[in-house]
Amino acid sequence: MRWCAGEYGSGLAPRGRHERMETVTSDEQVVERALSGDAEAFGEIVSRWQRRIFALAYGMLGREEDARDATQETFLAAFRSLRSFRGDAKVSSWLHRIAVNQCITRQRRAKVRGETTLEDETEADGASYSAPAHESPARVAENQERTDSVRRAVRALPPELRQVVVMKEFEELTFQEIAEALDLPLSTVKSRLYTALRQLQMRLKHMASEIA
Amino acid sequence: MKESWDKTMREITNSCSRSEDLVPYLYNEATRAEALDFENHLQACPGCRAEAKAFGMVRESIGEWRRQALGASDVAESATVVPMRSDDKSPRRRSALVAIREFVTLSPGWMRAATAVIALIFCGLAIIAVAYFVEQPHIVVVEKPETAPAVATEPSNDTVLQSKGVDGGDRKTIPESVIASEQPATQKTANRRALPRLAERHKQIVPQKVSEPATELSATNDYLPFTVPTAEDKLPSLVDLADEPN
Repeated sequence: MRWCAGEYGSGLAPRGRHERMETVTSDEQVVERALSGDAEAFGEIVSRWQRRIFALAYGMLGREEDARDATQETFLAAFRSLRSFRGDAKVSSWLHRIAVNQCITRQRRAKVRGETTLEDETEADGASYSAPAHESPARVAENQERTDSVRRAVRALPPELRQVVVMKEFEELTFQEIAEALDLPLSTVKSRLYTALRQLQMRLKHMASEIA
Repeated sequence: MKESWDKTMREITNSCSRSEDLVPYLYNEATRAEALDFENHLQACPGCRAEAKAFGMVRESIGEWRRQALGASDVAESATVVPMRSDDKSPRRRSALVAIREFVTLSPGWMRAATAVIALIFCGLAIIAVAYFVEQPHIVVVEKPETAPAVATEPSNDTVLQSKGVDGGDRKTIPESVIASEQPATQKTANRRALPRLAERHKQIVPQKVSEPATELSATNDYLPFTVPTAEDKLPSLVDLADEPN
């Protein structure tokens, strides 16, 4: 069975952990159901997390197509290793760890294959972006340029910094959740995020000065 | 370019010891007390204040990117897991060459060596198999006319030559050694070569006028190793004769 990230929207509004806590059945209980042979249970996990995993993959990989594939692969890998899930960590942390590993593997493969990446291509994200009607074309172009710059800047970050930024900015995970997902001390997560933000600021400023 | 980069780095360097406290404050994950404390520090520290502003702009840019990329899906709230359609095709299909290249690049050395050895063994076996089948002798089937007697090979040690006519005819057994002596050429080719010579013999055997009594012929052709047909018999074809030993 395969799943795809559909419209990247799950029934669970992943805006914050508080909303997720309202879920009647916890992720761990759903996994237990899946382990006991409930065929639909894992589908529930997918529908809960696909949007967030896609957001993580998109932030890490920078391309919708790649992110979709990585999301797919993440859930497949999770399904295959379901029996090895011991319940020591949260399901969310487990899924995030798999997703991060999938993204890193994917990037390594792309590098080996010499595929074009975010750094040397401008994806037509803007084509699907419908700018507000009141914005002038110049303003739209400026936004687009800024978006491209930030994409390139994020992409240029080392993986260990990039994953922290993406988890924070794209998934809005707490520091504690990121620490659990990446199996890192809380202080390391904070310092990595600080370093990542500084490097992004540097790169964006540098890009702006080059354009000027 | 390098100089420009260094200049950028110098400009944004913040040497304040509390600079890392900025992150929890910025993401609203500091406790109330920590937040108040850091706000007080911000008023006194221009470095942290500048950095807070710069980080805010970075976050704004990332947020803009996120909205552009995922904004539409924020609205969509499809709760269903969409099964992947079987006709979904990846826009970037990898060629076999690329797949092999990737395999070679990503595989560890032992796996590459093992693959090479297996490939060599496979090639060797394929060559041996081809050589074996090429050397196999051909089984020759002699085509016969509809009305002509058939030549068949039987699984016995001796090959039986059927010189059977329409009326049944007689059978002669040819030792295998005789057939083996003609092996270099195929049976069909040998027949063709023997045809002119046998045609000559046929002329001797067959009377010019079939209606003449056969007894005369048998009297003059007793040396022949086969029974001369009578006038009532139908004569064997040249092909049948060609199969007979000389």
